Amino acid sequence: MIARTTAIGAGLLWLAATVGTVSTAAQDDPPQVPPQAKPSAPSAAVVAELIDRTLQQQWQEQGIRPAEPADDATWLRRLSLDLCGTIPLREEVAAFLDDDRADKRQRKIDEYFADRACAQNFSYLWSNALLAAAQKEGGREGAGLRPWLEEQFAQARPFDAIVRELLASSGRNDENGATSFVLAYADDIEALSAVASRTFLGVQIQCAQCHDHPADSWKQADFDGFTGFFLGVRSQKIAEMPPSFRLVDAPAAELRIPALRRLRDALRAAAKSGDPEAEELRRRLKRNDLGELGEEELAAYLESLPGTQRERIEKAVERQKKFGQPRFLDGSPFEEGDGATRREALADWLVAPGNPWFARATVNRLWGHLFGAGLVDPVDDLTASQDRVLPPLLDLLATKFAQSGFDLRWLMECMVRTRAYALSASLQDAGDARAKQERWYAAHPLRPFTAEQVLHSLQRATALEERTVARAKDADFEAERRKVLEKFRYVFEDDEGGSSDRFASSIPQALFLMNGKLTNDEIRLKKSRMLDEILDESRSDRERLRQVFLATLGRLPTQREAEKLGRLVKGADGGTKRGIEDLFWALLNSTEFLTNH
Amino acid sequence: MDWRHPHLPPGTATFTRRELMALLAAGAGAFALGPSLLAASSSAPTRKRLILLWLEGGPSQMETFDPKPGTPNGGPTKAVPTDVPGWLFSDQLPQLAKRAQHLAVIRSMRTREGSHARARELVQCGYTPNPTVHYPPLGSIVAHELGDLAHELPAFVQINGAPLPAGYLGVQCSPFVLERPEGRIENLTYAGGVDPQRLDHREAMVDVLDDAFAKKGGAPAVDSNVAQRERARRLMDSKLLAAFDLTQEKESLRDAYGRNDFGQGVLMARRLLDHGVQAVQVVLSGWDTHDDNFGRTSKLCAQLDPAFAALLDDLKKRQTLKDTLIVCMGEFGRTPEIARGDGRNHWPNNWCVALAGGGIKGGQPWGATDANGAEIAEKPVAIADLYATIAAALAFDRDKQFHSGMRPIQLVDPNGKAIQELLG
Repeated sequence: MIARTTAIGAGLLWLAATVGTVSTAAQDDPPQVPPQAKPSAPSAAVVAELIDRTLQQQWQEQGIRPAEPADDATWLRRLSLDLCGTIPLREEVAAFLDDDRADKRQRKIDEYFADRACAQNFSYLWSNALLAAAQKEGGREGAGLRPWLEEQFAQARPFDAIVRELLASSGRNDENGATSFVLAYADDIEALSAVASRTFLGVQIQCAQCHDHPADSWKQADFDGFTGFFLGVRSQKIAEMPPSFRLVDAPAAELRIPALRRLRDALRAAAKSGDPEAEELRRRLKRNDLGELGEEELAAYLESLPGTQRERIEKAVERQKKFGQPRFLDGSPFEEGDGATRREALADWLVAPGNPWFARATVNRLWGHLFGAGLVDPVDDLTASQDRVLPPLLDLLATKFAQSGFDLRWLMECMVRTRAYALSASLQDAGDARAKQERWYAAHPLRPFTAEQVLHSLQRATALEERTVARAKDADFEAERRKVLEKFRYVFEDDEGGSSDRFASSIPQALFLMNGKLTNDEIRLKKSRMLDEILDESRSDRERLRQVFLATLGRLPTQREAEKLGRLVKGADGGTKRGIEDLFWALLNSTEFLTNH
Repeated sequence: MDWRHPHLPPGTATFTRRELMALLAAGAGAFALGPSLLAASSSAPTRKRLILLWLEGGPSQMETFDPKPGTPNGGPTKAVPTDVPGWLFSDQLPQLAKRAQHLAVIRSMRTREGSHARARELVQCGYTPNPTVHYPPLGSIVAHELGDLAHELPAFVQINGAPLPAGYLGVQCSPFVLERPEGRIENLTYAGGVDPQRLDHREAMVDVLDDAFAKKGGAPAVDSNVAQRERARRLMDSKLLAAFDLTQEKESLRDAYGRNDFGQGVLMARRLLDHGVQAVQVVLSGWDTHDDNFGRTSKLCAQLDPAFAALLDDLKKRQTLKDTLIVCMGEFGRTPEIARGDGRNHWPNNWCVALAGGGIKGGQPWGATDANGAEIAEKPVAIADLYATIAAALAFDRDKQFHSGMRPIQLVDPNGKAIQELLG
């Protein structure tokens, strides 16, 4: 894809005019300003209009024909999946289709943002990204991250405050869940550094971990400097049950002495056993004048140590050399002292309004979440990716997002209110024309469900309580849920986050849906709550068909589907009731059910 | 808008998308069934297959392939002569010692990852773990490069243990997991109350739904799902599932492999390869011997030794040893010094990998450690070198480029140099 730098002049002029009007109007008539919009940011409606005008101008210039607007059912299902992480309830769909108020879509948007499920959904989005590089999905140290995020999102806290806490918090994980992020990586600060820069800034400095990358401007020194902010991070186990840890940082003085505690310990031990050379080295080390302690001298001494000990010290010294001097990514210097820990300094720099990457990375990630592809794609590769459209739009949204006080709801509302978000899927066959339409957001892309969406949508469609799936008491619930999801992830998710080959579904996935417990036991009469409910309340076969469609695909059957499927239901071995079971199964196995479209 | 393939005659719109895809695929040969599949077991396969014996936890080199009897580090483990003059194995591997002519053992592996998870990724994938690239494990590489992804059976199967996904090679190359060799395969049998006829009926309903969705713009997603459902169904109904049935083997042979999950898993690996699977990884866990190293390794070796030896004999007898690369390794080795509680701790500095079979010239050790086993005395080998050697033995194109996001990646670390002397 060619980078497009076409100015969005018309849209900008229009925005300038409109924003002026809005702020004047706001003084006369305050209720016109949505409550979540900060005074300095334009209203979501205005920004949505700007996005639409900008996109339309591109479509015209490039001769792209946009897809038709999506119908209400499609739009509702999409919004529910994107904001709440699951398909809508069947009663909800029915009511929405019957609702003839002009502002019903806006009402739905407001309703979803206020829903706890929305906070939960975005806690998955962010914790999956943040724990992506951790072993065992963050293990016990990282377990508190998702619930903590859910709470922050539920309280609608500004995103800069959330991120600041994630990076800078210290103390016990059972008292402050924000510590879980750094704790999850306490023994692998390179991974921590990589995932933090990638998720919060959209820059992939970790490629420089192994070599200076030709396609990107990051150097190994950038990575080492960024990682330096995490040097000294330690996890102390407090209790086994429930697992609790304390996050601490090594004192600054210890970090400055390149020979580290381990060398000191080794030297002390050696000196005790009467090694005069060790005693001399130890005295000099105590005076902190390692500069005077020549490399050769040190090397010769290390050579004389037993293998295991030597290896450990060499590693520590090497790490100290590599990560000893923290440096901000924009090259600004870091000064130790003035009371702040290294992590606090990093957090302050990262969320500062002047940081060119933080707001853009956040806008781009959420744009990618809602529109299927980032303005820069992949969403977390802002500096190196060549696949970018409308850079000025990303810049503008980032500026406004910062002005809004990093208000995530406001930002996402700007996006879901657009006409572009409400387009249907492309009718073109897979190929260049379709790809172009989708890349310029002139048609909504098809996206396979994430593991969370599969689990939560299957639960909702079968009216199965999440508690039943995880089968656990409250205390173990989060742990159980993680276990269930881990399994779903292995079966349903590609590692590349669906970015490479989107519909590379697998045999285990197909087997899971064809023969698995969830899709078989839970569709059986007298066992499936959903099916029993539907059979209880519906009087005719026709109505039953409508209800199972609403429960699964979130829409009514077409005439043609009703006829064909009605015949197949009647023709089932063992009668109509078995036929309804079969239909329910078929709906859960259909491609439409498993696609966010 | 009707979905019609340009080369199909008019009127085909009355077929379901599934039928049309099957028709097209059959023409292209991708779904071709018939006698060729079963014949594959008798005619010699041209592409090499892989069996990876994964010793989870990090096996002690001193108690397996690099014994140091009579030294302070050696512990109670003795050395026994092998059938290759001058070469000694630990006395815990008596049967393998008699078959050393088939083995090439690298005794000078040197890595830098000392934690299980990172080392597992490094050794199974051949690259240092990187938070943004998920490298595929060796079995997935073999499945992708040498396997037939359209075959009825999965190209890569893992028996016991936790799998690593195929990363950028895509889920089709991820291991198909068998939790125990004699356990039930998850979701592979018809659900209760469902027979083939009823499943057909259900699928006919799915076809109606999928066709409607394809016409609404969902075609690319439908095509992929239909193809996978077809393959899943073919697997469920496949005669080749007999590959998973160990009761078809002679009792005496099952005894020879060892009546435990690992031994039976190795036997199943051989059966799976015979039926068209390209790579199998069998896991033997428990090698993380921080205490009671000698007692625990001797129990583990009592499983490893007969299974590995029986596999060599079996493949040789079936004349497929030359087409099958066997790799035996774990995350790292264990400290030469004996720690408290007779344990050995993690030690990536010098450890062993055993190779045998296809593409490998057996009967030779490679590299050596010093008298105390504390250091590599000659020919250190990096993971990249090991992978270059494996790629050469299996004869796949190690330089093939892929992309993870934007960034180019080679299947095998380009810094590696194959050890020519071990190839034959």
